[in-house]
Amino acid sequence: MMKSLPHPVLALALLTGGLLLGRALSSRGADISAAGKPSAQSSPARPDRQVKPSRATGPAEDRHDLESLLARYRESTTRTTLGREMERLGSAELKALALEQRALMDAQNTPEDKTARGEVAQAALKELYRREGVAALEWAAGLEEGPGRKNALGGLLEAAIQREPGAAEPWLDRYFTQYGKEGGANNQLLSAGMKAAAARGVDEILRVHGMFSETDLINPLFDAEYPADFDFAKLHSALAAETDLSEAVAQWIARDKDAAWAAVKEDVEKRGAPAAEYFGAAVYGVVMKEGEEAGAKWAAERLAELPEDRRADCLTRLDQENKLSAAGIGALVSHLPPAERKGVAEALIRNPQNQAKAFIALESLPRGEMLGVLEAGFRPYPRGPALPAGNHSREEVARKRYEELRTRFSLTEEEMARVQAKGNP
Amino acid sequence: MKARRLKSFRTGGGWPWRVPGMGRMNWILEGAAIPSRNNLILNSRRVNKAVLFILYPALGLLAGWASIAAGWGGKPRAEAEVSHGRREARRSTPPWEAEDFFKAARKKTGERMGGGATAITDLTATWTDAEIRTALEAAMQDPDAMVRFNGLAGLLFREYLRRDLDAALEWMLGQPPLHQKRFGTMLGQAWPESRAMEGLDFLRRHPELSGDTYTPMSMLSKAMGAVSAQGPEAVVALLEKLQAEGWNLNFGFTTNYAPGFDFAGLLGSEDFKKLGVMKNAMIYTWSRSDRDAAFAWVLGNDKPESLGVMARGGYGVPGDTMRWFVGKMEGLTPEQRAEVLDTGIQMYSQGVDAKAWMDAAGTPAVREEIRTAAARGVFVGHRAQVAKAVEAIEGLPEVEARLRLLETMEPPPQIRSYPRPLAPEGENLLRGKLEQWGVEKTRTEAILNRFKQTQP
Repeated sequence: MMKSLPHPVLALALLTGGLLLGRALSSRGADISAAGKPSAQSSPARPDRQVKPSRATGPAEDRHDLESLLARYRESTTRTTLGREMERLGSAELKALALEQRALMDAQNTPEDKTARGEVAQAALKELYRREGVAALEWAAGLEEGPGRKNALGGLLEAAIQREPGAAEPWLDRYFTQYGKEGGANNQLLSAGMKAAAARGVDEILRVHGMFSETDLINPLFDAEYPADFDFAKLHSALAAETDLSEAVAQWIARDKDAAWAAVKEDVEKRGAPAAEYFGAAVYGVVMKEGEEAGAKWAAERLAELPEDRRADCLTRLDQENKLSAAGIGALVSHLPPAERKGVAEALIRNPQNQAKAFIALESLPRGEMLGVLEAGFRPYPRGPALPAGNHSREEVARKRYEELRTRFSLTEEEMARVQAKGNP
Repeated sequence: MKARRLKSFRTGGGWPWRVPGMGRMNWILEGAAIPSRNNLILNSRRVNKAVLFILYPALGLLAGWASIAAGWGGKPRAEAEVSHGRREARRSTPPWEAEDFFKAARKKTGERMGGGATAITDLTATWTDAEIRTALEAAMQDPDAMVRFNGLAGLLFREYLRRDLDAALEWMLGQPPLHQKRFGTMLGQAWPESRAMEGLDFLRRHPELSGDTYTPMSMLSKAMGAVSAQGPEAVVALLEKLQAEGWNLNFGFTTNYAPGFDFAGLLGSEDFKKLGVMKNAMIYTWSRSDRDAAFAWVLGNDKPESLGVMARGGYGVPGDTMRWFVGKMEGLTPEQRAEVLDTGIQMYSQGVDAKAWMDAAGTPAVREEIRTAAARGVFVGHRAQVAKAVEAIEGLPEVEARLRLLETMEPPPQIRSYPRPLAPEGENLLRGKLEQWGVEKTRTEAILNRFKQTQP
């Protein structure tokens, strides 16, 4: 028999105390911020099939500095407000929202409205896929034939290819069999999949890439973010010839100059002109990290390592994207052997909209060569369709530009005549 | 957000839901509240006392925790957009409705596409300009942040521009030339339209920043939008000046113009026509605010192919616009429609969704004209165009009708001038289809030969 039963009031007090404490602690749970450390893994790619929403670990602290901003920015892009609110909806509501908002896209009058509708629809589909996985695709496949079904499938495929390419693959095939590969979905899914895969490593990127065919996207990895330990060498080896990896090369060289250069060099030596764009990307990466003077010197030294026939290709494409400044061009030609300065000038003179850089390069040439480049390539204005009769603006522009040229290089009348004879009519 | 009644926690599939084991918990609580020796489970005297002093609070703790998890009560809290260590408020506020989602998304697209607020404006709301600048300078040390299109360095610079244009420009001009060029590409999009003319002046003074195509396009576009309030003459005067200065004016569209802008007056003005540029851009811009008026004007004053500007862009054209346009086409003559479809819309090309256009056609005649225009993709020769053309042709139920089309159709005008032979992949695709349709060999080869010849 019990001798010391707890008094009922005491029991109640203990329970109540525990209850209140439990509530308080639970509410505060969200405050325990596992601060979002700037991590290499930026996209949550683990398959997450739980019904319950991914619980926030708490936002990173705002310390008004770059590091904390980066963490909070990543957070805001991977777990958006839209996404968080979607987590609160039931699956039926998500489906209705996705279909309705996508259908509303067509009726919008501005691109901002149209894109917003599309983003709501896609966020709903993304949450639906996160929650239901393949079951979501099955739902979409069961919809009545029409644009709604196609868009729902496409949107779910995008979510799927980003999270679980393997699970998405059979559905991709089914989608393309029914709807064909034309129309942009092919490219969009490729790019979405590859970019999401970057956080998981190069093998994943290659896997996604291998799942697609008949795409014509030059740069599916546009603006991709690569984790700290990413294997650029493998990416370059696999895809340098197939897609534009300029950004990746620039980022790689900033992290591991020697390894990146070795790969670019080998590629250039092997493939020649088509690989030459990567020389420019490499230079850009060095320049971004070390400045134009150091970058230009590095470029000149690396060029000297290449066989002669490859050097010309690299030089002409070095600043194809018009990213270097006039000062950078000046630094470059100062480090190049005289025979190669001409190639830089010839490439630059073709762009009439930015002659400052061309002129810097021209100044580094002996006069005879300089005149030759001007005669062959100087254009006082960009090419374009003929202007109506009575519109003499082009002639006026040409006159002014020739005058600038004459003054800049102290051209004689005879020299001017030679340049003008071959310039744009 | 409108106030709404809270949804019962019992409905819906998301939060909150019934906590598993609550029933059991209820039973234990009920049992413990009745102090009777018969209900007690534990019967060791000493253990009983200690454990009960632990057990009751522990049970209470669990129950309390679970009750919050289940969403019962708690103080109502305001929605927190950016929570800095505050509690997860959303569990106590009503779930969003469709328009709430749209408004939130619309805010973001407005930021991104309008060039005003940036993706980090909200995140840096409490920062000073000096802190922005410091973070920007730190970001510039990271090549990734500079190389990537949407890297943080660019976002910080654009945020700086938004807060204080003049200070940001001054800062920019103090940076190494390379970085000036990099940031210079962002000026056009971020520049406030109210100061667009100053922006043009800035670019004139710094031509090394405007060599890139991005800056001039958006800046010129904003400047034109800004002067549009003064009417067509002002727009023309600006364009004349820019053309005389050598700016490249060959771009396709411009920003919104002042309400009520006299597009007809502009397009019809001799001074504008003499410029020889931007006609299509103006037609397109007009069509975005008054498409019926734009259509009527072009039909009455210009070639039918110019109509195509309003609905060009294939898969990117809003379905509503496309359906409207197809409806308008019903009112054209067959000759006008042919010109629109071939030269204006370029229905033969890969980027236009011919099937959607055909579905939108109100009459069989127009539908078949669209089909024929799409079928002409075979003359372009590449696999993608051929595939699309074949898809359109296959819409004809009778094989004989398909063959008649293939055997009689003529290339679109552009291709007549620059004929393209059938590429191998295109040929294989078409041959495969003809075989699939059961066409006999000589006829198949004759058809293929029509497209393989380099000369029409």
